[in-house]
Amino acid sequence: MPTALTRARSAPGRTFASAVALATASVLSACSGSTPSQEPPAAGGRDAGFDVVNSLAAGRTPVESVTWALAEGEPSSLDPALGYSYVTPNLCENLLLLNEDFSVSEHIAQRAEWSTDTTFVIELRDDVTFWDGSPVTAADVVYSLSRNLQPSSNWYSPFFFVTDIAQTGDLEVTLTFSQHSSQFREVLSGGAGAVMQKAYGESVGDAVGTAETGLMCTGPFMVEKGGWTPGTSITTRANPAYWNGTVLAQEITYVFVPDSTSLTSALLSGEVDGAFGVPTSAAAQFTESDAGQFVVGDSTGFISIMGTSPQSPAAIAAVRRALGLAIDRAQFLETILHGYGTEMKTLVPPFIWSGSPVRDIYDAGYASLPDIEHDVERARELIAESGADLSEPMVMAVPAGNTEAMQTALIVQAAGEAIGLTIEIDEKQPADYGALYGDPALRDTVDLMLSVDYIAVPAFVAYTRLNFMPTDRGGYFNWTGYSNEAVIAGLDEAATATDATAAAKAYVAAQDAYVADLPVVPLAATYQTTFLAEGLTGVVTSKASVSSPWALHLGGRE
Amino acid sequence: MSTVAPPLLDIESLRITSPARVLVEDCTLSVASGEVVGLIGESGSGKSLSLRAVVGLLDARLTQSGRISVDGKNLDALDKAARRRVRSHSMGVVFQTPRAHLNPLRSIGDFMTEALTCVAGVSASEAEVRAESLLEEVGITDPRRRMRQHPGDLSGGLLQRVMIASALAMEPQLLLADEMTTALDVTVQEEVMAVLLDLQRERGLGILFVTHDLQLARAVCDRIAVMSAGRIVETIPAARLDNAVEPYTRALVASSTLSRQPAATDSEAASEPILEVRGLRREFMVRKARGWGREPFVAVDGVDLTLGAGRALAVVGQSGSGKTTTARIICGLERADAGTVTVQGEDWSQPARSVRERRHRAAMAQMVFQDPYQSLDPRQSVESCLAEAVRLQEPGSADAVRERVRELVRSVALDESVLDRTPRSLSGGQRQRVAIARALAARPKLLVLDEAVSALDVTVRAEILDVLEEIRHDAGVALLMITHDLDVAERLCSHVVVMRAGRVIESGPVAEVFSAPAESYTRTLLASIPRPGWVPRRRG
Amino acid sequence: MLRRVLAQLGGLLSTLVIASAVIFGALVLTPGDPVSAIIGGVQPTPELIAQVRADHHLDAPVWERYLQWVGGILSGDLGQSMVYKTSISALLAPRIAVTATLVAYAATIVALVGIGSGILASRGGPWDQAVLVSTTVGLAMPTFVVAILLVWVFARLLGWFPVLGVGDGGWDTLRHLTLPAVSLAIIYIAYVSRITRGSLVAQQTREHVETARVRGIPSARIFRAHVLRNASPQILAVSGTTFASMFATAAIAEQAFGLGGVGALFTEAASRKDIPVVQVIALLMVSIFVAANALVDIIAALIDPRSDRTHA
Repeated sequence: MPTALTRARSAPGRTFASAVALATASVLSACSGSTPSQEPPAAGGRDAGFDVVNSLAAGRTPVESVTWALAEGEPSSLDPALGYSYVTPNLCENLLLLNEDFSVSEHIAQRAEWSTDTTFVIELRDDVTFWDGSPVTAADVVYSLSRNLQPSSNWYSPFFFVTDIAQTGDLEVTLTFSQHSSQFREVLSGGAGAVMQKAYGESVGDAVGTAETGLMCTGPFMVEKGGWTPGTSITTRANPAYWNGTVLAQEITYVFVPDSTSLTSALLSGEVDGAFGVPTSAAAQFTESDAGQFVVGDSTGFISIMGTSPQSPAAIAAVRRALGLAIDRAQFLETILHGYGTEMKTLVPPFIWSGSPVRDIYDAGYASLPDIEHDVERARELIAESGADLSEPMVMAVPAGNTEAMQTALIVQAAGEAIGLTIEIDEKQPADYGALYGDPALRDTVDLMLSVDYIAVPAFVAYTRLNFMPTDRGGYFNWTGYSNEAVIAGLDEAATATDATAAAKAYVAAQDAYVADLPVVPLAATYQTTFLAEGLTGVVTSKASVSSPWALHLGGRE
Repeated sequence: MSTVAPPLLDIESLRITSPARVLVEDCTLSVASGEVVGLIGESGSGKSLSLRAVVGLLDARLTQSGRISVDGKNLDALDKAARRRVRSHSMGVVFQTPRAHLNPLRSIGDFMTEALTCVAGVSASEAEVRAESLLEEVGITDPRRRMRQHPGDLSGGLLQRVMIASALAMEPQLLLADEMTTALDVTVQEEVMAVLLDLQRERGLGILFVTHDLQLARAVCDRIAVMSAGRIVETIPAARLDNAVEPYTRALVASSTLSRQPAATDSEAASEPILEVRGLRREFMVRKARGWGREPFVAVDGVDLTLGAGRALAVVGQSGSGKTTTARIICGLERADAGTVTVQGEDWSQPARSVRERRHRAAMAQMVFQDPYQSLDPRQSVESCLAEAVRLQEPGSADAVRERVRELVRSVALDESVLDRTPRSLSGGQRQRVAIARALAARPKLLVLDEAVSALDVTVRAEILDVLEEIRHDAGVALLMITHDLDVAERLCSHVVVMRAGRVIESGPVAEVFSAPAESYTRTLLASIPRPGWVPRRRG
Repeated sequence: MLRRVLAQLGGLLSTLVIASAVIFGALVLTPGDPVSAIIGGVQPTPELIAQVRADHHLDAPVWERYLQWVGGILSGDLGQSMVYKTSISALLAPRIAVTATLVAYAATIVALVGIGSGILASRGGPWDQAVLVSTTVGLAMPTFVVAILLVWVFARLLGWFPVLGVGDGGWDTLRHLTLPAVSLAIIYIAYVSRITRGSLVAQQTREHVETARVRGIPSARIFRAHVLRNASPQILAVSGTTFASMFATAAIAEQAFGLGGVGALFTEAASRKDIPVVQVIALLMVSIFVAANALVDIIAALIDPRSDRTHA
C-alpha cells in the first residue's frame, strides 16, 4: 500500500508518525565495505507466495542515467527537516545509518551514545566532506541538529527534551536533555540527523531545499542549481568525491507520477527505470513483465482506525473492540492489498523493531499477544453492552484521491453495518486531512479517522507515547482521552530506561495492556513494493529507503 | 410585342411538388423583350416558388417538371455548367429584402464586382469601372464612396438600387423581381420603381414582376398573370384588370381598392375623448456617429393627439417617424420623458407600477401587434389562450368562460373549429384574428393596433378591417391605428395624424387631409401610393 | 479600430481588478483556519502558530493584505508558496512553459481537426453522418478516459509514443506531448466541429448565399467568401473560449501524463490549501480567459464591419 501511503503523506505537514519516527538506515553496511546481501525470505511472504527482499545485490557496472518515478508526486521540499521523499535520502546523509533491516549503525557519526542519562555525545568521522569538498565539522552538525528545535521542524517532538546542543570538540557535539529519551539514538538515523553545511544554510535562511536554493549535503548524489524543474523533474548527479564509496549511477532523474495507471504504464514500457510504492493492484502485470523485476520488501507502513474525539463512540473500548472483531482481515488483505500485507496485532508493524539488539524480547512480546479474531456475533454483543450513543452515524475521515484508502473505508463501513454501527465516509482533501492532526475543533466534526501511514525510523516508543499517553504528557494523537495506568507506567519506563532490555520489557508490558483496550484499531501492516528495470540492481527495497541513501549501489548487473 | 424572336422567358406547364402536395401546377407564362409581366397572388399561391424554379433556387426536396426556356434555350436540356452560364448571363434577379441578400461582411464594391470578375472574367479594375457606372445608372450618387461602404451603412432603398444595378451587371435582357418593393416605405418604393422603369425603357428589358400588390402591378405592368393556389387563373392586360372575368381576380381587385365605409362619416358628431395625448416626448440614447459615447435621439417630439370614444384615429408615417413609440407609450410599454397621456380622465403618463394598476389599464386598453405569432404561445391551443385572457379579467365558472371564448371567436368572424388548434397551424389572418379576440377578452374601450394588418394579404386585410369596423361600430371600441398604409387609414378612420421625424406635421379629418393636404410631405406620401394611372417619379 | 482596442483593454483591466478582488476575498473567506492547513501534522504549539501567522501576515486586515498582494503582483512579486516555501514565480515559470506548449499543441489539433471536420460535415452526406457519430462519441468521453485509452493503444500496444513527461525539447517534446494534447483536444474537437458545422450550415441557407448562387459565382468561392467568412466570427468566438478553457482543463491531461503544468499545480495547490498559489493561478486563468476573449473580439471586429460601424 505504499502508494496509498505516500499519497496520504503528501499533506503539507506530513502526519506525525513519520515525523516522530526515527530511523537509521544502513543498507548495505556501506561503512564496512561489504555489499548488501539478500535477506532470507520472511515468513509472511513465504506463506503469501512471494519472497520478501529488503535489498538487491549491489550493482557492478556504472550506468549513465536512471529515471526514477516518485509515486507520491513532486516533493514540496528537499529539506530533510520537512518533506519526505525518496530524493532527499540520496542527497543528505544522516549521522547514523538506517540499514535495510531497520537496524541502526554508525555513519557520519563514528560514535553516538549516551554518556550520562541526560547527555548524548556525537563523535564525527574526520573524512566526510560536503559536495563542495569542504569537510564536515562539529559546527555544521550543531547547526543541522539545532534546526530541529524550531517548532516547524517535523522532528520537533523527539527534540522536545533537548536543552542544549553544543560543540564540545573539533569533531564532537554534545546534546543535553532534561530527561532521558531511550530511542533518541534511532532518531538520528532519520532526517533529524541529516547533516547540512552551516554556511549554505545561513546563506539561504529559511528557504532550505527549495527548487531555487538547492542543498549542500554529503550524500552520494548532488542536486545542482537548476536541477529541480518545478513540476517536471529533479535531476541529481553522482557525487564524484563521495566519501563512502563509488557511485555507479551517474545521474538519477526523478519524475513525478502520482497517477497509478500512468506509473504502471511507464514502468512496463521502460520509460522510467524504477519506482517505490508501485500499485499492488498491478502486481500480476509487474510479475509477468520482462521489463524488470517486482520486489516486495518489509515496511513500517500500516493502516489503522483512530478515534478523533472524547465524544466519539470510538472513545468507548467496547466499540473499538467490536469494530476490530467485525472486520474480516483475511478478506481485507486479499481485496485491498491484493495479498501484499499482513495482519497487525498492535499499534506498529513488528518490522519496526527487527533491527533492535533486543528484538527477541519484542518478538516474544508480539507473539504472546492474542490472535486477531473475526467474530461478528461477539462484536454485536459488545456494541449492545457498550451503552454507546449510536443515534447519530459515525463519521470517518478518509484521505481523498486514494483508492486503497477509499476501498478500505468501504470495507470498514460494511463491517460496521453488520454489527449495527452506521459509518459515514468523509473524504478529505490532503490539506483538510492533515489539518485534523492540529485542530481539535476540526476533529470534533468527525468520529473516526482512517490512518494510512508509515514510521520512518525505529523510534516506536515515542510514536506509541504520542498515541497513548495523556495529552498533557505528550499524547498528541491521543484524541479520545484514552488513559490506562499500566500503559502510562510501561511507556514511561520504556522511554527513560537506560538499559535496552529493561526498556523493551517495559514496552512489551505496556503493549499487553493497550492491546487489550485497543485504543487504535490496527487493520494491516503493508509491504514496500518496488519495480526496477531489467539490468539494474542495487537498491534498498525495504522501507529503510525513506531514510537512507538507497541508490548508492544502484548500477548495472553485469 | 411581335414574337419573331423567341420570348426571353418561356415557362410551360411548370409543376412543382413537395413530397406531401402539389405546390404549383400547370404554370405557363412568357415574358417578351421589353415587356413587363406581373405575377400576382396571395402569399402561398406559388408565385415566388415559380420564380425560384426559374433561377434555380428550389429546395432540393421539391421536384419540378415542365419546361423553362430562357432566350429560347430549354434549361433542362443543358448540362449543369451551361445552365449556370445561361442563368448568370441572361437574367438578373432582385429579391424582396436586399439587406438579407447582400453579404453583410463584404463591401458594396465586392458585391458589385464579384460576378464580373468571377463569372465573366473581367479584370478587377475594369469591373470596378463598370460597377461605378452601373451604380450611377440606378441613381446612386458618389458611387466610389458607396462601393467602399458595407450593406449596413446603406438604407433599404439604396440597397435595393444596388441589387438592381448588380442584377444588370452581366447585361441581361431579362430581369426577375420578387416582391422587390414590399419591404420599402411607400415613398421609397416609388423611387425604386421609377429607377427600374427608366432602366426597363432604356435597355428594353423584359421583366417578370412578382408582387402581392395588385395596385402596384397594375400601374407598372403590361400584362398580369393572376395566381391562386398554385395555378395561374388568368393572364390579362393590366389595363383590363377592372373588367376581369375570373371571380378570383375580381375579388382581388375588389379587396385591394378599399372603399370608405359610411361608419366613418359619423365623425361630425361630438364625442367624449377617450384618449388625449399632450406634448409627448421620448428620447433614446444612441451611439454617436463620431467620437466617444452616446447622444440623445428624439424619437417622439411633442406629439398631441385626441381620440374620441368609439372613434378611429390613424397615425400614419414612414418607418422611423415615431408612430410605434407613441403607441407603446400609450400602452405603458415605454415611459415618456415628458408630456401626458390621459385615458378616460386617468393619467397614464407613466407605466403602471402595480399589478392591480396594470390589470386595470389592461381592462381599458389593449394592443395588437404586427406579428401575432410572436405574442402567442406556440404550445397553447387557441381555446386555452383565450380562456386564460378571459379568466384574467372576469373570473367565472368554466362554462361561462367557455361561452365567452366562443363569443369572442365569433366576434372576429372565426370558426369555432380553430379553438383546438395551435398558432402554428393557423394562417396569418387567422392568427391576427385570434390576437384581436384575445385583446377583446378584456372588453377594452380602446384598441391600439400597431401595423396590425400590414403583413396580411389584401383579401385577408379587407376582411380583418371589416371585423375591426364592426367592433368599433357595434361595441363602441375606439381604435388607434398605427399604419404606414394610407389606404387602411382611409378605410377605417375618421381622423388622421401624419407623423414625420417624431413630430405631428398634420392632422385632421381623413377626408380633408387626404383630399387637400396642407403639408408637402403629406402630398408626397399620397402621391407615392400606386393607383391606376400612377407613374412613379424620382424625387429630390 | 484603435478606439475599439482601447475599449477592450479598459474592459479587460476592470474585469481583472474585480476578478482579483473576488479571488482574493473568496480564498481568504474560505472556511478553515489556514494555520492548521499550513502546519498540517506538525505539533501545533502556540509558538509555531504565532510564527506561522506572522510569516503569512494573517493578522493584518483583509484589505491591507489584498493591497499588498496586488502591489506585489504589479511589481512582479507573486508571493511565496506555503507548501513549496519558494517563490511562486519560480514555481510557475517552467509549468507555464509546459502548459502553454501543451495547450498550443492541442489548440492546433482542435483548429485543424475540429474546424476541418466541421467543414467536411457541413457538406452533408456520409461525411456528415461520420462526423456526427464520432463527435457524439468524442463529446461523451471524459479526458481521463481518452488518456487511458490512448496510453493503452499508442503507448502500451503500439509503443509509438511515450507516456510520461515533456521530453528534451524539439521533436522529442512534440512526441511526448502528442498523447496528452490529443486527449485534451478530443472533447474540444467534437465541440468545435459541431459549432463549425452548425454555423456553416446556417450560413449556407442564408439569402445572400442564394444571391451569389443565382449570380453564378463558383461554389468554391461562395464557400470561401460568403459561407466560411460569415461563419468565422462565430467559429472564432467558440475557438477563443475553447482555447481559454483548455488551460483550465489541461490539469486532467497533465496529471494523467505526468506533466508538471499549471493545471496540475492548481489542483494540487487547491487540495493542499496552498492559498497563495491558488490565488495567482486563478488570476492567471481569468487573465487568459479575458485576454483570449478580447483578442477574439478584436479579430471579429476586423472581419465584421458591422461591429465597428458608425452610422452614415
